Amino acid sequence: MVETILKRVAAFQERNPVVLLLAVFLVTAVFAFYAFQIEQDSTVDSMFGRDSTAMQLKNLVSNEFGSTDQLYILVSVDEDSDDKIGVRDIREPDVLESMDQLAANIREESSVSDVFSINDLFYAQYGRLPTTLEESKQFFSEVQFDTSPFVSQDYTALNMVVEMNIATKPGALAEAEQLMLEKVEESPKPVGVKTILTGEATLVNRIMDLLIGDNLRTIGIAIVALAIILSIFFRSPVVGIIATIPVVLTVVFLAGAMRLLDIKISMMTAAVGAMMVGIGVDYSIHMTHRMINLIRNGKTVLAPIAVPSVGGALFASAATTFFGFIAMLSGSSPSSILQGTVLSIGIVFAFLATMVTVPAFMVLYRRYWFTDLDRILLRVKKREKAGPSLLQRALKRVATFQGRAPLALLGVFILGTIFVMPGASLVELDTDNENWIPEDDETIESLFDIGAKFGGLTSQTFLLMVDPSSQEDGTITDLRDPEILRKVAELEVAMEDLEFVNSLESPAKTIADMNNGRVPQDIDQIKELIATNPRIDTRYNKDYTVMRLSAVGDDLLLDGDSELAYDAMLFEAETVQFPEGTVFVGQGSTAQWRELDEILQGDIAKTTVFGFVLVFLVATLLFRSVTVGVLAFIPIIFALIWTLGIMGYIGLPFTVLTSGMLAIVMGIGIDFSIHLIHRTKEALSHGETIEKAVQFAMTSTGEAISLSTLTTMIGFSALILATLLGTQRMGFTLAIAIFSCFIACMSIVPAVLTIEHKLRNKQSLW
Amino acid sequence: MTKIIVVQSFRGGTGKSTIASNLAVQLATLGKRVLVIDSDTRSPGIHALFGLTPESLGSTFTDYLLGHARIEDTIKDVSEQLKMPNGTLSVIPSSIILGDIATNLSSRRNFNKMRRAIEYVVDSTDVDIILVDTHPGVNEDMLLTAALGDVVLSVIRPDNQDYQGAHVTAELMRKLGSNVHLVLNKVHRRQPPTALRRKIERSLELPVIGVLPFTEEIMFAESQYVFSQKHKSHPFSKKIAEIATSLGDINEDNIKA
Ligand SMILES: Nc1ncnc2c1ncn2[C@@H]1O[C@H](COP(=O)(O)OP(=O)(O)OP(=O)(O)O)[C@@H](O)[C@H]1O
Ligand SMILES: [Mg+2]
Repeated sequence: MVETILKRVAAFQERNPVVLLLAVFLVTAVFAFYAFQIEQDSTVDSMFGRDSTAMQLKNLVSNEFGSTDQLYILVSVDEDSDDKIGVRDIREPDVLESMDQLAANIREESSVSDVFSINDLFYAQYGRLPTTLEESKQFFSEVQFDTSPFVSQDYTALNMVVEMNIATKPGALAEAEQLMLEKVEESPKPVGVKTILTGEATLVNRIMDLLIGDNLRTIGIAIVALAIILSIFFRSPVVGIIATIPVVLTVVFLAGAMRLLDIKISMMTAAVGAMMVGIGVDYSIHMTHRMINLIRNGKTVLAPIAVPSVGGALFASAATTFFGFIAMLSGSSPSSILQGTVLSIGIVFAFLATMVTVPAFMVLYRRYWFTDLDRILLRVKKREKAGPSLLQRALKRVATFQGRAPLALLGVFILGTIFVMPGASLVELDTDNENWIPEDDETIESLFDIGAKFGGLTSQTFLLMVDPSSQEDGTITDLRDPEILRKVAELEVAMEDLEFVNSLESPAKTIADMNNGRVPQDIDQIKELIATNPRIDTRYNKDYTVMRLSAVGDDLLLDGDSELAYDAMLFEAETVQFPEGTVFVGQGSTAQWRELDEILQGDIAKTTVFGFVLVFLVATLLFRSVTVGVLAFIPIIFALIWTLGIMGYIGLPFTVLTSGMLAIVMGIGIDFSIHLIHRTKEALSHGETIEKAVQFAMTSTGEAISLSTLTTMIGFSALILATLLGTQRMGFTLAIAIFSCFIACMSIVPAVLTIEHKLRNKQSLW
Repeated sequence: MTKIIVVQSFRGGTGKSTIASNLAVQLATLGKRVLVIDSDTRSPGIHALFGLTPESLGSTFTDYLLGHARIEDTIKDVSEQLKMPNGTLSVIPSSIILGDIATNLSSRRNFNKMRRAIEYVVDSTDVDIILVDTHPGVNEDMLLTAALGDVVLSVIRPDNQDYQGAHVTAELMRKLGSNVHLVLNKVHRRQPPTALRRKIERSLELPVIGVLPFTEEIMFAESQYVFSQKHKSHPFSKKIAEIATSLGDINEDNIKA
């Protein structure tokens, strides 16, 4: 079936290449139109599934309590400014005055619920702002409130906290933040003072900028590198470019398709472009290689010869890779599913782009560019009996050894594997922020600075909830219950004992304060107290089934030890033992990442197993032989062990981006062994001895596989140049994996084939 | 199957045009339909042997290469002039106008046009044999035609310069995978043909398909007619006829070898 279609297509390509390419051009234009409208998803939330506990909690909080996002406006002395009249002390009344104006200006925005700064403390205590520097210094030293969230200890920076109140719609925060940024930049400020807007949204926006920059850059680098390598390989820049075109089209198509399917560029999908380049180029290399050889041998009819034969092989190759990617859909993290979706679509595009454009371009190349004279001169100039290339000779030597001592080789390989294997157990899963937070970035560093310079700005939110699933008679349904509040007060004491927690903000404390330091015995009394103080109410949701508690500290969130702190706080909560029918959970990014960790662990196992099954089935079906399926798979297993082992030894962890990696590797790696097996069996069927057949396969197909490994690694390695650690690691992991596949297939397949053949023919293995 | 015979030599004046025209007539006499293509656009001349004057050339091969004419319009049936049965002998001449020659030299050539011209003749006419006369030496046109030819006739004179040239040609043809035969021309009556032939075959490792005597009368003919047609019993004509017969016999099998 496939073959008939391919033959038809080939005939058309030979006759009407221009028409075909025009059609491709039109289709590309349409996809490009959509590709340019591709949207970004700049939220970290997209990494978590909608149904994940973390996301549900987050939604619950924003529904019941409103948004809690905060932005910070840092007003500081500009050390780079050498202006004589510039502000040297941030306590200058001019600075405070300008902050006041900015605050008033910002408050007008509907997305802003409140703005806090040192000025509010001054108004509260003195009813006005200071007018001279002397007075200002006095205000600063005498004010009764805690100033640490608003002024740095060395008086070089002031902090303005902007509480945002925005819809949970993705992107809304980024939009609001953009607006804020404009306001901050517009606002007049004294000479020698600089303002920086920062906050989690800024961080995410900044990361997205970098990611998308990375994405385009890595794709660009990969494509240029490939065009150069292919030009050299094919000894013609024109052919090099023809071979690169399908890859470019694949990227455009994929971006367009993503727009149409409403898949956004996010942290998870940003690296897919460069990956697709690395994988897709193999197809076009195979096709171009076959066609240029036909042309150079003086063939005038190209497509009908090349398209059906190469097309069939590429179809097999694309099918196995495709199902490797499909296996990623079995994961439950959005990153695994999104990557699987985008990559499997990409494979289809890469296959189609190669099949449609390369033959058409090569027919045109033959007709209008490559002249008969070129071909003749090529032949005339060809050195007499140009011996096999260095690579081919090396491959031949390896093959000879494989044919002679397959068992020894296999033994060495297994020994090596046993050696590497312990590394596999060292591989970790790293969902740390460091994967996403670039180094040396001003906006981002200033966010961390805030943690260091100002106190009490970071907090960890916990939720105490009535658990609807464990409701029995007599269990608590109202969290204003005195028993609950007493437990919360207990927790407060415990938590505040932790050195990194300044205070635990909860209703218990306020209620107790209002009642001479003791929580009332009676719920009605508590209700009355709450009615008199609306601030307490904000700690509850409407029907009092959820209570929000915030542990406030200096450096709770952004510090590398945030996980430890989080665990310590949860431990304290456990010792308190809240009554039956309630649950106590952490909310916020630490909790989210914790959950993601678990999902990813599951994904690695699930996608790998599915990948195994699917790829094995497809290989078996395509070659209608279980033996081939098994043979093709043995090296992949080794390659996976090697990849894991190397990752473990060099300390390369799995990340959100690489959790579905093993399935990808299987999909790509199996191509190598399929091609080798196919070629060897072909030679055997022509009556060659197994030794000769293995040599033949290794020098011909082996050479192609080497090139293909090289180009795929170029695509993946381009990611190593990315800014973000997560993307770099992904590139590195893939490059290692592909290289392992290459080594494993090239060493094991011929050896195993030799053993299989000799056993079947009852020959001695020694 | 149309057979393509390319007449070629490393040096000029070896007798390519003379041999090509004589072979054409002899092959036509044997009942083949023959087309002679003068691919020597730089120094064309074979038309004169077929009695064509510069004025009567019409559209030429040069015009075709320059894109000024279709290949089918350049074919001239010369059977009548040569008193041969209708449709047996035709020529594609090259332009003898200086302007055309110069333009063709300086323009960026489409090197696929030679092949397409031959493909046209093979596919769309009933010609049995195409004889291509070429410009001497190793040059684009010679390479393009030699690569297309089923048989390459390499013309040499008994002269050391020609032998060395033939050596280069032989190496070239081997790389192109062409089937080369040597024609020894202008052999003086005091040079024993059989010994000469054997010596050359041994040193050049190429078969000699014919040895043609130096013939003063050919000089007297001043390239105004095809010698072997007028003087059928002359030894030169006999030898040409022999070559024609053996060329007619070279079939696909020994071409491939
Ligand atoms: N066998 C021969 N005996 C005597 N003269 C000959 C013989 N063959 C050719 N000639 C003469 O030699 C001269 C060159 O011959 P001709 O034009 O055929 O050579 P050519 O190889 O076609 O030359 P060019 O390389 O210039 O095309 C002509 O004057 C021709 O008459
Ligand atoms: Mg001549």
